[in-house]
Amino acid sequence: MAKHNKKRNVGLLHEQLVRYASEKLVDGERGFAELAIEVLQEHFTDGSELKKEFRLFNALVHTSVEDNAIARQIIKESREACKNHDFNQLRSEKSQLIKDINHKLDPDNFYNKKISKYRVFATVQALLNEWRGSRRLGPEEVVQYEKVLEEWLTRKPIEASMDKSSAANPLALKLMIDRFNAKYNTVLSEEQQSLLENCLHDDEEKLGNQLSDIKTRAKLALQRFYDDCDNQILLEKRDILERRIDSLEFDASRRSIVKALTICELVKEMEDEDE
Amino acid sequence: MNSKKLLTEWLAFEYDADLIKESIESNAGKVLMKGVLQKADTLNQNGRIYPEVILEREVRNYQKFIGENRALGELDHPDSSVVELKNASHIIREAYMNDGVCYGTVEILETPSGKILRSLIGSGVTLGISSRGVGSTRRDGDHDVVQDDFQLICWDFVSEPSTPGAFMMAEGKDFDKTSLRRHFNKTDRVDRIVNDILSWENE
Repeated sequence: MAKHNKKRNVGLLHEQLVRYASEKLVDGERGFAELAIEVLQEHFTDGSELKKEFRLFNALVHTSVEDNAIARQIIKESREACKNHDFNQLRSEKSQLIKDINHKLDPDNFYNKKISKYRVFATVQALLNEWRGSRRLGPEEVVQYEKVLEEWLTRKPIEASMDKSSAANPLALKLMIDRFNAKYNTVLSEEQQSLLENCLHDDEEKLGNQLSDIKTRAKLALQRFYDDCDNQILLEKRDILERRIDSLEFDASRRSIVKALTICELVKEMEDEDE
Repeated sequence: MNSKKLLTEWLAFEYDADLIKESIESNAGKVLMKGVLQKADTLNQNGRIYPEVILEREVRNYQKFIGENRALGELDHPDSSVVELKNASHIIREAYMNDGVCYGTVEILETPSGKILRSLIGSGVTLGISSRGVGSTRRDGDHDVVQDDFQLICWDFVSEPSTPGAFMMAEGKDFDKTSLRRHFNKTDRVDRIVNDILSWENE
């Protein structure tokens, strides 16, 4: 992996700021989220050296081409573009940004976020520094890093898939779940919300345990409800209902989840004392 | 999520005056009438369709009201989800689905409203039977489809509307969980879910 100071990596700084703001918003800490956005807007302004470096960084991280010759040309152009950066000004702007992060935000929780493309981020930043003449890498290392970057630029694009939650952005998933729960929290019980959440996370073990729990709770609720029930129509259905719940075999299918949600609803109504 | 609104429908209630006379004689003075209460998958006067699966489910859930002798209906629609006892004119004694049509047997009560209804029938007045329920609808082309959250409250006797949607003045009123609880008690709510669970056998 490229030798570099991660606190001075423009891509990491930007990514951490965006994630920090999103997480604080989700956690309801609006003040911190707004501060992070302020820091972003203040430092990544048009015309700043920081913005110039970030644009170049972003282009190298997000571009994908099929031809190696084109990839090499991109690297060559980027190397040339680096010569137009005002290195001293960039260093000063980056120092000011780090200072603001340390003073205005929560630095202990800021730099510890895992970035999936960390190796690429590190390689690109190390090369940008080198192309500006930092001379921290030997010629062989520069060639090696450029080769890594060329491979990255010619990578096969990965098709987005939401089939499994492991491929979904956990933050986006969390945001979606929070929004769903906020909208339906008057309709769905905590148990039902948690069941849907486990479904979305595709956590089979957790889901299996919860489904088994629901069945046990339903049997107990049924017992308690019928102990005090004198409604003839419901009493007539008791045996068949008990057998039906007893014979339920839950799996992770959509129909099974709907059934589990219905059982939760039954328990909720049976235990409801607000009559 | 759509809010639940009051939904009412109108259907001409066809009755045979001679059969009613026979019914009075054979049922110790009770007026019993048989007829069509509602139709599924048919565009009604309000431009609305009740899917058969939903109407069938509601008729199934309504059996508890029939079984407990509280399947009351009023003469004319109120804008409420509760059937007012003082306005009750009839009671549904039987309701069942057959080929997408809900048939029923209605007994006219000896209440003030029931006596008015009996007098109207005796005079051969054209009457309509109208379901009263709460639920949401979804636009589908040129009509509205009643959604899965529909809950049947009762069937009322009403006069023939002059125009489609004549009973709509009460419609559009939102109903929340609290107002529905005035009509559906705890055992009704439990019974609905129990019926749902028991219907899984047919899957």
